[in-house]
Amino acid sequence: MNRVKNMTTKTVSLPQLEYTHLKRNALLTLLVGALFLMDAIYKIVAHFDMSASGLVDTLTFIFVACIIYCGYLVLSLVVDGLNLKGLKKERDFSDEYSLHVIRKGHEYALACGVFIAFVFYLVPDDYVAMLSENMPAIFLAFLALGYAIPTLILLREDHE
Amino acid sequence: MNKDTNMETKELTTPQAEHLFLKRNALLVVILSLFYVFMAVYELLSSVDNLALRVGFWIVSLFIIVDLIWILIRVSSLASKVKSAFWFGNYEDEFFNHLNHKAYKYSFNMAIIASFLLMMLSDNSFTTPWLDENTALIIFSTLCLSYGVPLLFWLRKGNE
Repeated sequence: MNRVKNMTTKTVSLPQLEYTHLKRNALLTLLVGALFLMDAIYKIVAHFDMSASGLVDTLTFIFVACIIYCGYLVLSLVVDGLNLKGLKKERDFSDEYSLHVIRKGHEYALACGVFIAFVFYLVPDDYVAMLSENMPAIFLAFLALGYAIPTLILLREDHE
Repeated sequence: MNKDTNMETKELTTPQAEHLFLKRNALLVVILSLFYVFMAVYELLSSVDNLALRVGFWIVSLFIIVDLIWILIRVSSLASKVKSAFWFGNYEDEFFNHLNHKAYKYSFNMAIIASFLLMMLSDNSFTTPWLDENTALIIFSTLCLSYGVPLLFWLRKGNE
C-alpha cells in the first residue's frame, strides 16, 4: 500500500500528499516511542537477569526490526518533504483536517507528558528507583506515543 | 490597565474574554514553571552558605507564590465566560485557537528536545545527583515555559 502511494507521489494532490506525510510521520513517531519504551524495559529486564527466559532475545529482535523500518520511514519522509516545501518553513498543513489532526496529536501528547511528569515527581524515589534512571527515555516515549496514537486513530480510513 | 479590564469582566464579548483568558493562562503557566524552577534551584542553593543570596531567593519565591495565587484567581474568574477554552482548549475565536495550538506545537517540540538532551546526559559522567532528582521538574518547566513565553510574545499590544 505504502509503496504504491510512494510511486504515484508526483501526481497526487496536495491534501493527499499531506495526509500521507502525516500518517508516515505518526507511524515513525509511534515506532520511535516504542523503541524508547522498549529500551527502558530492556534495561529493567536486564537488571533482573532474565536472559534464560528468552525475553531479551525477543526484545532484541523487535528492536532491530523496528530500527530497519524506522530507516525506511525516514527515507520516505524525506522524499515527501521534498514535495511538500511549505511544510519546511511553518509546518502548517493547508488541509483543514490534517491541521486538526496534528493539533489534536499535540494536545494529547502534552497532556500525556504533564501527567507522566507529575507521576514521576510525586511517586517516591524508593519505589521507582529503576524507573527514574530511565526517566527521560520513558518521558520521551510517552510523549511520542501520546502524539502518534491519537493521530493514527484519527487518520484511519473510515474516519476520512 | 489590568485592574480596569478585571472590573469589566461581566460586559466582555466572547473574543475579548478569550483574549484575556489566553493571556492570563500563559502568564499562569510561565509563573508556574518559574515556581518549579525555583523549587529545583533551592536544593542546589541549600548547600551554599550565603545569607544575602538566600534572603533574595526567599523574597523572589514569595513574590512568585503570591503572584501564582493571584493569577489563579483571575484565571478562574474568567472560566465561566469561556467554558470550552477552559475545559478543552478549544477557542471560539479562530485567531486565538491558532495561537493556542501553535504554542502547543512549540511546547511539544521543546519537550521532545529537552527530554532527548537529558537522556543523552544521563548516560554520561556529566550527570549529578541534582540533575537525576529533578529531571521531572526540569522537563515540566521547559514544557510550560515554551508554551507560555511565545504566547505572551504574540499577545503583546503591538501584535494585535
